[in-house]
Amino acid sequence: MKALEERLEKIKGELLELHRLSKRAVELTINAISGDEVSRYEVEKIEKQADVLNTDIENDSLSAVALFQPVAKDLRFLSTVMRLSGNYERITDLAWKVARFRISEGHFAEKLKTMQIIILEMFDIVEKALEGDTGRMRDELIFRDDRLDTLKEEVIDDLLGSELTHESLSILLSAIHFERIGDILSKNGARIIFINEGRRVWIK
Amino acid sequence: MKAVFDVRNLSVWYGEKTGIKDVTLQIYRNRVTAIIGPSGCGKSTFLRTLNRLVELVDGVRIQGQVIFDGKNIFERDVDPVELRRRIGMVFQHPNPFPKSIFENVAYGPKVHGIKDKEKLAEIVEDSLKRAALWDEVKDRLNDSALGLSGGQQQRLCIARAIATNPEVILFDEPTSALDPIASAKIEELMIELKKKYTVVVVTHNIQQAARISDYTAFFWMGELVEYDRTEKIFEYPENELTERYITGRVG
Repeated sequence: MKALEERLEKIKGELLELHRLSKRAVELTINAISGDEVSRYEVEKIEKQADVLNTDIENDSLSAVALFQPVAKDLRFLSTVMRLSGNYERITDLAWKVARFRISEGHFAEKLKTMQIIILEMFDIVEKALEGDTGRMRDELIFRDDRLDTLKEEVIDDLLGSELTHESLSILLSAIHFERIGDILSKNGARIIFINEGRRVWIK
Repeated sequence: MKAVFDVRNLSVWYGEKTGIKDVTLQIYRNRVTAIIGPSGCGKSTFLRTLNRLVELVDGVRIQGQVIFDGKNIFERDVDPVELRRRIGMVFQHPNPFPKSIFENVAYGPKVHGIKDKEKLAEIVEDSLKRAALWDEVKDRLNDSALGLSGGQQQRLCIARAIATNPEVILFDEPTSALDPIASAKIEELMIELKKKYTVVVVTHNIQQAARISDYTAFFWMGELVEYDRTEKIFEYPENELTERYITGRVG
């Protein structure tokens, strides 16, 4: 049994690493869209690291399933980890897409900054859950996910009627990508509840 | 779903020692029910109570009821020999008689009064077919059963159990003495058998329970801890002890 437990711990460690990498990628996006090339390069690098780590996690999880034939919580953990990992990899993709935009300081940059702060809070909530504390996670994620939806709608409303420029398109897509990252983090939260409690919940 | 067995507050003692304690559950018709749990938890005691085989142990004491086909099997007018015809059993180690393949299968029906040779031949063929052994032995029915491989011997024992036309077949660790290929054949067979019979299997191999059973009962120190659909037990057990046992952390 010890061998399986060690394997599960290793995979959990890799998942936490991927979680933190994704968070770091989102953290750097605002600097990147303000023109900071170093941050932009860093997000690009993280995106590639995340691809590799995601593949490692998938391989490790699959081999643990094949070799140990886990059941119950172990099986839920391994099958869910593959989804969680894929989701983090998707988050870094989206962060990289945002990091490639250029947006001037001002009203919209502030809105996006607010969205980013909310996402970073969601990362912290999910990280606590990954470490075992699901406590009030569901409510806390729902609240922030709703807030992101509202902010995205506000960005769209504020852009309505304005000229279609490269910048306005960048703002629109950044807001959509940030909102999507919030959705993905909520889904990850729901899946962590499934690992811990064996019940399916919707965080929406 | 119709219950074949309705077990109510069943307890068994061997002298002062408790075998099983206050077990209540229903076993459903045409389903495979697996009994799992660590060594000494009462799995085999429970199984052997279902056909009153447990009574053959000196100093055994039984309390509670096992309702089979509407009647408590412990009532005085229940004939244990007839009960065991209706509730067949297959054991851990294949135990064919030192007789021919044919005689092994024909033995039960003969004991129960069937003398007609044609009828016996029909029963033997049908039983061997149901036990997925016919194709392998049809040309050597008069050979000694002891010349068969372990897996074939176990399927012969299943054919022998089937030959008395039971309603239930109890399996006590039926694959623990077999190699993986022979075990897989027995597992396939148990799944096939549930179409006609009710199958109850005691197994140490929890993956086997997960593969073949519809319902799983988890025993711990003589008590029934959890009993539910197999998927539920193996995916989302309700009891922490069940979870810890099936994931290999206790037991």
